[in-house]
Amino acid sequence: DFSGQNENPVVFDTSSNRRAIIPLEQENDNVIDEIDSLEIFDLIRDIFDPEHPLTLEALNVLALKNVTVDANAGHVHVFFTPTVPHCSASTLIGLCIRVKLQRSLPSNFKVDVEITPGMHLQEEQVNKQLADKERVAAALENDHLISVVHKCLSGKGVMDDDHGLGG
Amino acid sequence: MDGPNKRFRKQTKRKAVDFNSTLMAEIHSRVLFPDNLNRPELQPCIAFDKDLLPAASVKDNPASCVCTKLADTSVNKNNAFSHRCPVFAIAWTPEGRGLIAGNSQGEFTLWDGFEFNFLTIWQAHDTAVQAITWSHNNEFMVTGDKAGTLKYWMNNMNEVKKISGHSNAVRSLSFALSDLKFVSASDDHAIKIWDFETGALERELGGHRWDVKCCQWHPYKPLILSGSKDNKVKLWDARTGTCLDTIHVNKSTVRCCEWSKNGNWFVTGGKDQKLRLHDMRNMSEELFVFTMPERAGINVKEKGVTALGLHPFRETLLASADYTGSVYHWTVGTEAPIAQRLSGEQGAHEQCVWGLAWHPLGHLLASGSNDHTVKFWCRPRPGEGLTGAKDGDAAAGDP
Repeated sequence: DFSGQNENPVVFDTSSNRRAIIPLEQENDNVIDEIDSLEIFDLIRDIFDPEHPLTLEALNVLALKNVTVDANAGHVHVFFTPTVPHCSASTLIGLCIRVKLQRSLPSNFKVDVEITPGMHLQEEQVNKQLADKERVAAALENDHLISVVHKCLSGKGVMDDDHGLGG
Repeated sequence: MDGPNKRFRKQTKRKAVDFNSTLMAEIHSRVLFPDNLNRPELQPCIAFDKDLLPAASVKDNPASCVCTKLADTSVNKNNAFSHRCPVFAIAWTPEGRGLIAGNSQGEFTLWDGFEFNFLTIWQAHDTAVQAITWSHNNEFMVTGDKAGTLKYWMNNMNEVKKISGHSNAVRSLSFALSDLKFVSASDDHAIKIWDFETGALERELGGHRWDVKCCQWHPYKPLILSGSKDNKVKLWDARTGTCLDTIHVNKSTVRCCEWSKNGNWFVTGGKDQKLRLHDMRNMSEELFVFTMPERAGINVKEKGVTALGLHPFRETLLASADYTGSVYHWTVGTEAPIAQRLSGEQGAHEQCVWGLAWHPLGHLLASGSNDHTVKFWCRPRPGEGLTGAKDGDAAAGDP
């Protein structure tokens, strides 16, 4: 479906912007942890690309500077950059980001996922599809599509072959 | 068979609960009466039977989905192929066509979902069946038994895999939303996360000191809820395997726990006769506590909630069953049950109810009990009162 495009993607360094993991016992329950852009970025950086066994951060599809959050208003905006201007997996990648954020954030958050301006030939069309709630909901009812999305979100990638069971 | 030995069985009309007429009423009414304010109320008279709507439709009144009228009692016959023995676990097939009941001999009986007649039986496990669960994509069923074996079944009931998962009885099974993983809880104190496709053990969650009686994966987050004989309810992070929180408020075994579909609530029930509704966002106290009513004259060795079922559509409606065999219905906000079928009454269970399962459409409740029966409960008709005019009255074709 998506193979054959961009066989040799450039791989970027993913070690920056890593927060130290604090064990649960040391967390202070009285301090309110505001949702900031690094938290959103941590949620989406490890989503796998459907074509390559690499995370979106490693492919520079997602970058911390492209994530904006307004925690008070409950608004998140994510720009993602497809690896090539004619990438046909863009809607799928956008859908994965949307699904991950929808399931992880409190329900009062509005999530906007868009292609970085000027980075894709069909930018307007893809943005329109991703912004359409009903279209996204209908896409998630497609069994094959939802299983691909789940594999991208699972942290193991889509590249495993079918074992015959499931999938 | 003809001949001198032909036995005549009494002709009884089978009671069928067919939801199709309610679906027709819904399709009709959603055009004419698009919201609840415009819809005419059902009056308590049997003539309004035809206007009954599906359980998912009437959004403001959870009491319209209370299932206390006995539709049918289903028992296995005792012969070479089937045994009349306690039913330990029940689960509806995903499209609601039938109910699978697992019994103490390791057999699965398939009962029809419309007329509740016997469809088929097969020997599934070597020991008693303890847990049944379906995957979210409706393609696979995973079951666990008393010896700790897990088995995968396709939806045509072919057995495809067998895993010796635990060293003691498996008590509960639950799939993640993606169906890539599932979790099992067992009497050997362990909660294990399995990779579904390969059947490999991915992670073991340790922390409970005694038998883990129930577990459930959150509807969409990587969170697992578990309850155990050591009186604790724990919330686990499925990705790292750490215990995120422990609830100590229960004073005895926690026998059943279930997440609400809204993703924030969960209900736990245990031996201390209380059902506790918690909100995940504020764990410092329970959101609501339901107390089972005391019953004078009932003297049983064990007490408490044995099975729990949240309604598939009504967020505030839940059903629970206890060790005596009574089935209670509750709404959030009311401390006493809004409806009940007490054991010892005409038509109710006589012994412990081990499993409760709502039909996927929410108009039927099935309960599997130690008294060898599976009872199907349907909604009482308008004007009939909570137990129905005559239980099991043969009037085939009723919705």
